[in-house]
Amino acid sequence: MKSEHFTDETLQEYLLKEIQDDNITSHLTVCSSCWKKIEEYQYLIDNVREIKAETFSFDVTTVVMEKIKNAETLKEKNKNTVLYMILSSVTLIALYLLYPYIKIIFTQFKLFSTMANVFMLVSVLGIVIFLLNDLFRQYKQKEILLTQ
Amino acid sequence: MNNESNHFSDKIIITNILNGKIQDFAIVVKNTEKLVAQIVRKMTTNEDDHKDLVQDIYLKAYQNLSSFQFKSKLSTWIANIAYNTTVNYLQKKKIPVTDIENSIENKFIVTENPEFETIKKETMKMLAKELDKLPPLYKTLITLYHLEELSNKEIAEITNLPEGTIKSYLSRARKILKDNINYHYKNEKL
Repeated sequence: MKSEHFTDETLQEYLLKEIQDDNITSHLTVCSSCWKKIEEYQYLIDNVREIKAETFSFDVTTVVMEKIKNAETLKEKNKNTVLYMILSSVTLIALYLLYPYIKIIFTQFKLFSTMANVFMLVSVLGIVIFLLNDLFRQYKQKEILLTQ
Repeated sequence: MNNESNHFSDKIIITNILNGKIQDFAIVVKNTEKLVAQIVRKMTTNEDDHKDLVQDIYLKAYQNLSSFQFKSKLSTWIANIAYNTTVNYLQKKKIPVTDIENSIENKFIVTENPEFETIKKETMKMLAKELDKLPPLYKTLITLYHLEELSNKEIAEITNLPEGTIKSYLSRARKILKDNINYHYKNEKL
């Protein structure tokens, strides 16, 4: 039988059943000092388990979801800004490159009467507005479906 | 089996969130807020910073959700983010995580046996006070092991510390607590 005392670490491991050692069991039957330590640790562990769990003074879900929604909005805004910048750049480049041809196209309009030109312009604008509106409506529907 | 079903439900929730169902993240928050509270509140005392810390922790978790590889439970992964974020906060504030210079253990060696016959309520109050005096890491380890009933392996995953170190720190923390309680009773008797 082991005569010297066991360390606190060993006694704790024995108490928590992390180790099983017959030497410790038999030592505890004869050593009041180690037995006392076991009792003290048992008492400590039993009481620690009864300590009330910590909570926050605020509603975590509300606070977190608010932060995430704000972050998402910011991300979306940044994404849109980049998209608009790219689109603007592409349009400007296209206009610059097509300028000589645009000039020719505009001279063609002079061949038609004013009424015919107005009619063409209104028709084209109407179609463009209709298509853009349809595109936007579809986009919104998809957005609602994805975030539901 | 339970672990598998946990992984399965974690997978469904994460897939939904990654597919744009942001509000499903509220389920993740609800499932893990208790564990996060144990870590944040045990490691930091300044209540004003708790809200910022919690928002930081969950925002990091949300933004890195796609990198979660299901090698551990989702709660363990979030607890790991909570632990790292809180440690960074403590380092910024220059607060030591494991410093035990001020603990009674270094000043006294208590060998006398106290009488463990005081009123339960008083004991709990005193124990909570003594637990609060421990260094942040020790407090957290004691809480995760004894209150949350996590294994040494899970705690190691949360804190990025080796299991042996966790065991050693836990043992040391329990000894400090035991000696401080003994010291408290000894003083009370005098």
